[in-house]
Amino acid sequence: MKAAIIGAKILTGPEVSKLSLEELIYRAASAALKETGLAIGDVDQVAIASSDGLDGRAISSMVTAPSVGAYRKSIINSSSSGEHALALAALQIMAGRSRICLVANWAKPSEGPMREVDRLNMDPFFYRPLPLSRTELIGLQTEAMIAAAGADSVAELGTEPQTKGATDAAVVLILASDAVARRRKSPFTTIEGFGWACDSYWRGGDELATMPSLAKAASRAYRMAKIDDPASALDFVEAIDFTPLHLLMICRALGLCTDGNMKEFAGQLADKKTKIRINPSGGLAARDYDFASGLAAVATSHYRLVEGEKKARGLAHAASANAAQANSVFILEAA
Amino acid sequence: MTAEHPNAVIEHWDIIYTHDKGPIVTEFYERLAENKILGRHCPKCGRVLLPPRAFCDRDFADTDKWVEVGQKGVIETFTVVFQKFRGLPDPPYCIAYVRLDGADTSILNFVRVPGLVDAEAVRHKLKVGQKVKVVFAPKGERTGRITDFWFEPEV
Amino acid sequence: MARAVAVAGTGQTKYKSRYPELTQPDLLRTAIRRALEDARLTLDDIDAVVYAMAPDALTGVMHAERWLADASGAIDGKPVIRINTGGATGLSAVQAGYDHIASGAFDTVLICAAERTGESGDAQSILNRIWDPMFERALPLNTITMLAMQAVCFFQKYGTTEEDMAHVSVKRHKAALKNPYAHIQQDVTVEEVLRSRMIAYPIKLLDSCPSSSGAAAMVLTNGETIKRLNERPAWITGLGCAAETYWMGDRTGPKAEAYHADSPALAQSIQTSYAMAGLAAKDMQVAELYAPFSNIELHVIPEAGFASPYEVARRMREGAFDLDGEMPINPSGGVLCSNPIAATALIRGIEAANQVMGRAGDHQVKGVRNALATGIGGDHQFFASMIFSDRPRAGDDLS
Repeated sequence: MKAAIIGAKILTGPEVSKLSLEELIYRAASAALKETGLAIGDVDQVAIASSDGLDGRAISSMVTAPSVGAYRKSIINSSSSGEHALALAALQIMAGRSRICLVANWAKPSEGPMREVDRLNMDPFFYRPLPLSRTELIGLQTEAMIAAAGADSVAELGTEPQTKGATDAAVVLILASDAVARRRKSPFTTIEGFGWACDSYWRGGDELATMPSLAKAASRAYRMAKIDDPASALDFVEAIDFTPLHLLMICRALGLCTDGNMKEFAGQLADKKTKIRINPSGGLAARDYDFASGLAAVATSHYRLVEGEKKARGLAHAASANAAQANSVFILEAA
Repeated sequence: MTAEHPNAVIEHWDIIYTHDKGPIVTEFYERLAENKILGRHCPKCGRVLLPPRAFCDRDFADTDKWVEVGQKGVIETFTVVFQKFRGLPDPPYCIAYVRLDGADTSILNFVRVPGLVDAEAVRHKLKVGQKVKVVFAPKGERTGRITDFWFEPEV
Repeated sequence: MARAVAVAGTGQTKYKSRYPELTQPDLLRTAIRRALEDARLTLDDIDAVVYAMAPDALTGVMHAERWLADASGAIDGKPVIRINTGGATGLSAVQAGYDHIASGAFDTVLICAAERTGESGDAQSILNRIWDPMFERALPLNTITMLAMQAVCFFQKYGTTEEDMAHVSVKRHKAALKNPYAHIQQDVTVEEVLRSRMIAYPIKLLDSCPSSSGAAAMVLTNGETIKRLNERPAWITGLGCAAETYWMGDRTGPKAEAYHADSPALAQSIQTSYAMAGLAAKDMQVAELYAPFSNIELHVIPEAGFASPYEVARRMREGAFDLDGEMPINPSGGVLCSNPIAATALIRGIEAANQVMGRAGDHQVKGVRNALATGIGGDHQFFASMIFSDRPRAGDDLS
């Protein structure tokens, strides 16, 4: 039994900043249900990812639960990331414990000093006295990647940060078993494979640049989806690219290029002439929603697939935690 | 570290969040400044919800109109705090959920009752079902938070 | 068809106020090591990790699952997910672990939690920040006041008294003397409870859970694996979860679904577990029910179907829920005697599983075939429940 995505909604834009966080999430969840032709009563499970630090609410899931229709429903909260909430939802569907699951994740960075909040993610003994927020950590990672990728690749791509900062958004996905999805006669995608992994907290050297957790997450996902050669099996990738160099290293971890052909691949990336399309949506530049970026990459992939050819496959990459310490991969197929 | 905790790192978190109220909460506090208390009506279950909100979570539906509620009501449940917690007021104080006339749900606030010295006094002076009335802070002392009013027993 | 899931082993540390001698990662590792030993497995056998951690603020490191990734065994690219449902976190984490295996995606999963509530210094002040910022944050609400108000509702509806609460406290403190891990191991009398400091009427110091630090872990595995590990495993046969409205004021008045004395969502969660397991309340031989204050135990026992709410206080005094009573409740001493928040609901699962496996030591109930565990989080809002049995659920795939 596979999990399928039957609906998706990214609610963002300048108007959403005027809403309270609770109302923003509710509007996204309502819209997702409406557009999917469902009522809240059709949902039997809710999976969310709420970050207390980001939301400024010490158990954020308490006050946001009403917004996702949790009343008298089963709800689980994976605070580690939105993509983990998605993974849990998929596992529940595969275990037969849920027929239709609403997955939600959000960020309202306009409400708090996000980079100050980032620093609270660092342990108090060694890292916290240092000025380490997402900005500095990505900077450190970029430096490590420059060393790993080599001067030629860096020259092709540059290291310009791809986003000026995150914007407010709520992202909702509606999952169902593939049997339920098939009966509905509307386009849907199936989650063919997925995986997640985490690198060591103590960021340093090689691991920072090469992100072994991403390779492991991808390997799991490929195995599940029975993919031997991702460059042939996939039609596109939607990734969390903090810089163009990050995108190169992500492709390397995903097995789309090797150390041997990295310079050539970097050139193709720079010219947008890679064999499969990489970040056709524009990547993080088009969808930087901080904590909700990962689920947004999945939603973006889903949108692209339901509007395109059947059997096309996309890989959504999500990264979270300090300098992309945690990586997740979802392989979706248009049904 | 300190003399008391020589082996510890002392951390003091000080993060300032600016939580957007959104249109419903904004309206509520603007009316409160005029000494009016407004709830929101849910068209599905028909309840008048206080505190007001953009949607009814029971029906997962938008609330559709404002309803002004009365300024008298009953205590549905309460407690009296005797312990000092850091960052919270000096005890003793009473907080209660009060259902105001015209509202279907209760709203939390302080109940100012003198002489709450011990449990015995609590049992004498506070009861579920007790009638209370709203009292507003003087206009010059408003802060734009729910504590701009409180409850007092209706004698 | 879902795969059957069994508990291979559990591990706990002693619960106490502070753990100055161990850092958070080391505390976690201690419990994990014990669970692996109990399961006769190593970290290499673990396919995925579910990390239970409640309010970040209590640990003092946000998203500490990242800091603890190494200690939680998630090195070498093992998948790790963190769960946070307030007080229910530990049992929600077991449910997530169950789905990892029942789905067929993984075989062996480690669930773990470490907490140092005592070190935050201001647990109740932090817990003041859980409330809605628009209408409730300005008020001195925290978990004690919220459940003190529940007590007032219960008194109102069922006629229970502070003395009834005190009897619960006496029973649990006595039970904890037989649990070497329990934080508070101190016999108390009804008079001592009634004379103890009033915190928020009617809850007094000796009616309340402590602020505990400690760690706990559980290893779950599939049918094929458990066959070679353990002849007497605890199988997960039922799971349930339901959420109540966040708004406590909605739980009052004529249009409420139920007055705040009762929790229909808790009953719903437990009924779901019973239905999934094909069992009923009468089939349970023991229950570890989440109850951080003595009044809450009087409330949750009826929601689980073990007594009428009008009779529960009388039956409690008569010993019906003692270790040697008709329906033992919280023989570990319960949350009332140990509350390392993120781990607490996981401990309910651990204790229930240990009862089925015959590993509950001095507080073992005789002849346990089925055990119920519950966890409660949020403002009496998230209710997780689980049933452990001495045989797998009928129809589950044993591969």
